[in-house]
Amino acid sequence: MTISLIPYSPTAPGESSRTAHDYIQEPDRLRRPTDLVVSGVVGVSVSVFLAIILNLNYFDGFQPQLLMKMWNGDESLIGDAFGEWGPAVVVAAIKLIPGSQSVWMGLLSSSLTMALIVIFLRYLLAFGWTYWESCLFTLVLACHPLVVAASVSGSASILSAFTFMALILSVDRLESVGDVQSQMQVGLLLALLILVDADAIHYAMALFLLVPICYRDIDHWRSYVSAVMVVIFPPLIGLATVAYIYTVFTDQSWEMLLRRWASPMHGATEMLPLADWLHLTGGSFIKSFILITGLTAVMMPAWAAILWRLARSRFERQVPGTALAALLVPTIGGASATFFWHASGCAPALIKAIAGMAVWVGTSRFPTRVRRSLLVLCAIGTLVSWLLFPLIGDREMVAWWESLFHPVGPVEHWTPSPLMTYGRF
Amino acid sequence: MEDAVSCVSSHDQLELATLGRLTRQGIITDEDFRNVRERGWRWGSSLIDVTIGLGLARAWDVYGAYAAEAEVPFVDLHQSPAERMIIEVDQRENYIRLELLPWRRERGGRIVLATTRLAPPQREWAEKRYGADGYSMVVTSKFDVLWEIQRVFLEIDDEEAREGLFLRNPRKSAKSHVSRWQLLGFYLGTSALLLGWAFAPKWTTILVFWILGIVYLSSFLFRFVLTWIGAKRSVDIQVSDDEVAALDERDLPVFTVLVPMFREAGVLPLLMASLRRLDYPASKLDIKLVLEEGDDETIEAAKRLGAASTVEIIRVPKGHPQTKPKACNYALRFARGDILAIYDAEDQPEADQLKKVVACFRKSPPSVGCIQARLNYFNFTDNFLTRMFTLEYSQWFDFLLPGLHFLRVPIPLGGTSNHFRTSILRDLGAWDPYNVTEDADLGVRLTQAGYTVGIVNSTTFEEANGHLFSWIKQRSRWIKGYMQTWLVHMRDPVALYRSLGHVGFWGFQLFIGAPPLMLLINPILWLTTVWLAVQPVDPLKDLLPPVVQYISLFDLMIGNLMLVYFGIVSAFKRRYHELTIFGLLNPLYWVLHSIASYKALWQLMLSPHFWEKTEHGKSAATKKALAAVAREGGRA
Repeated sequence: MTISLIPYSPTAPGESSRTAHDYIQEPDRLRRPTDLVVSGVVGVSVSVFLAIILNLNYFDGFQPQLLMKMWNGDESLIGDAFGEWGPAVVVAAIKLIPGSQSVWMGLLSSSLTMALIVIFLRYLLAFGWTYWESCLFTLVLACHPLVVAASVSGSASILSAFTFMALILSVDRLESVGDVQSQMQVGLLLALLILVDADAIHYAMALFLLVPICYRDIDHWRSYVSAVMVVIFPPLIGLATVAYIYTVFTDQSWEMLLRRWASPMHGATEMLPLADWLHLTGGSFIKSFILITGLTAVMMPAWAAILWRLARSRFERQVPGTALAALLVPTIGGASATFFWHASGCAPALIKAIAGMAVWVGTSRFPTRVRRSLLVLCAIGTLVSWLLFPLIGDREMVAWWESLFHPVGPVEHWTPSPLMTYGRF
Repeated sequence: MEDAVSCVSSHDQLELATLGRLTRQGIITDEDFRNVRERGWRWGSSLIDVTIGLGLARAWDVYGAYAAEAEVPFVDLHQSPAERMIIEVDQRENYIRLELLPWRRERGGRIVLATTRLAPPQREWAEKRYGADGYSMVVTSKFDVLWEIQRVFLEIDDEEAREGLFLRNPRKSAKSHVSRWQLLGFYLGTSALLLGWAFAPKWTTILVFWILGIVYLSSFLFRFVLTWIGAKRSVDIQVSDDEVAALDERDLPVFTVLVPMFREAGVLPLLMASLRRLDYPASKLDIKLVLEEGDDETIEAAKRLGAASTVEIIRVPKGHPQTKPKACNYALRFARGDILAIYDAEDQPEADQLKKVVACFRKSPPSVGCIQARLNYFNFTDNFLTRMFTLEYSQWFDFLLPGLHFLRVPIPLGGTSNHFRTSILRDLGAWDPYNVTEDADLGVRLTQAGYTVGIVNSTTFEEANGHLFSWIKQRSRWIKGYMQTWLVHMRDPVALYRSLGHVGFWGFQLFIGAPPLMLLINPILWLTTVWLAVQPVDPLKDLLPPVVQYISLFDLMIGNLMLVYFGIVSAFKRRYHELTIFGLLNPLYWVLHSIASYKALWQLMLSPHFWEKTEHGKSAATKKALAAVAREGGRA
């Protein structure tokens, strides 16, 4: 008999039973001069394209309303943006630069998009896409109207999409590497996402469902609670800190704080009649979910290919975390964000779905046929989206779209989405 | 194996004959005989060492049989001690290494050597020293040789153990812990602060908040970086099971294990059981129980358990300071291993730890002077204190130390389960007997000397201190030791900066200097926060510049809450899921730390070298295990 006080068998702490595969490390081939040239060409092309669109918007006089509220710092209007602390901080920082203008925000978000596209291109190259496939895919994606709208508007969307992509990437790392760092990474990025976008609280809830799927070492309810605590604590710290700072610096009540935080979700009361998505779905989760899923599948069919791939590929089913995160978090999160009679539209969910799809594509290895099919699907989605853009029913975004094709002023030319006819109101 | 046995030397044949004699005498069985031969071949060890190491026969009997087979006299050094006149001080190292001692002088002037081996190395040394006809040999037990060397060199060894480091480099010793410049600096700083509050209270307050804010912010950011690095999976894996399995036991070095004990007779059976469980050739284990002279209870308990037949007992002479590092220094003199490890009495190392350490040393550059194993607790479910202690240790050893290792910042070694290259340890002057956290101090000196400390993915489980007063005693000693270590190394900050480099220097400040300071300041800040919270108007709001307010708020909210978060993460990494929720209670634990820090400060001023003993063997888990060992007749 061996008497031992050692509480468990000698395995290294944090050691996963699975083989580590750190996807984030770039293979040597990306350091070849051709890779750098291709990355540069794509980056410059995207920049030029976004600059043209930005220029068109600028001369047309199109101004994103939420950004302008933040930029002008009007106390009576700022409530609409109060939940988006991250962008508010960025705006405040940019305003510190002498001579800064609101259009700089558009430049900043466009530059961020360009950086994202180049990073995405390098992921594609690392995972076996040929030069022309990866160039085409990234350029087509950069031309998607939702990506363009989010980029040039200077709003929180692109920052939110960027954080969301990083989040899905860390979910992928959690599944493949399975160390505590990736678990912490998920938690910290979730905190950042919630600070960037008040709606993200709903995406967080959707993500918690995925934790036991992504983190395979969960074998007991205690380990699940433990894993969720690791993920949920940083967002709570973020929220508690903002709440504390708010009460210390403004001397206002907690109730007011919550109302202001939720304002981007609920919208100011006087804005509710203009909340078309709310009118359309009537606050129904199921209806929202179906509509978001359908719209995403139409506007980015490559996203729907995740489902097809899950059904066909055994490997994908063995490590389904990233695919499920890209597939379900935007749709469930987006539907949930409208469930409680929130005024949010579906555009943030659609943008997150595209971001999730990009991460999934960028972290998977596909055969040639699948790669080319995805490319075709992405191109179809981009084309269809330009044609059917008003379907998304977001006044500001549709105004932007209209301003490109009818440059006579944004709001006056807005027409309700064809989907509105199916709404309750 | 047959080939190996067939080409044995004459000395090997003598050992084989010794085994045969022991078998004929009925001391070992035929099966033991075969077992010893097989292991001797597999381990590449002397059959005598294997027999004693496996505990199959008493050393006395084995050496008696050996002497009989060699047809030389067997002597009892207790009854017939060595003549002091013929013992040479400068040959001390050789006496220990070769396990021999000049015993008597014959009438013709020939020296008689008492030895444990009549093997070529001993003969070569003797011939070189005394000439081919200038000596003869008698056999004695190795424990007798050790005992006699201790007796003969008692005063010198004791002096070296106490004053070795101080005599060699007084600036690195904590014998006098505060330098004149440090005292002057403290006096001037305190005076300036008081005068500032008297004549310019606003600006002084702003300055104080600035400094505190930056210290807390830097400390938090540093911990965050360390935790982030420590959370990465690749930091964890140093030695795989395959690498351990691939080790050839014939090539394993002799491993010295020092176990300093003081009034710990109760846990001795458990210690012996855990040492037996170590997966390392017993013949290559040089285990030394380091006991204090006068601690008759533990010495008698060790004898009763038969420990004296398999491990060496070192009796440390009484004298100030009576500290663990002094005992270790004393025992280090007798270490024969290439690698040396320290374990505490209640330690339960994972069985393959020593092999992992060997593999880790082999794959590390020669600059790695020490490998630290992780520490954790086996009795974490006992009460609130043991749970919090376990969370703290999990964070310390699973996150912070790997992070420090990665950044090449001096690692404050844990008090146990650190494995040194013995030669490096000796070159450095070993432990500072006047420092009550000698391990932390040694970690800094190792880095200063250009060595690094590695962290191995093996854990030693200890008994967490679950009694409040005992915990405060232990913790106050640790904090006092950190204060000592900081004061000692900051006697010459420029030299410290040059030896540690930028990252190492600031890491030292943030990891060893800042924590005791923060523990002392924390209660003041907590009370200030509570006081401010109940004020109708916040008096600091208009006083402090916005940036100071932001930093303070960041420290208060994000800093503190992230420290709580690290506790949660620590439980998660260790898979102590039942402890996760206790991570939320960390602030209560910090209060205890602050209480201990004031005790530490008080002791630093009044009795800096006093070593507050931590009692072991009190937990339910230990008692249960002891009862089980007793049921198994002490051979669990």
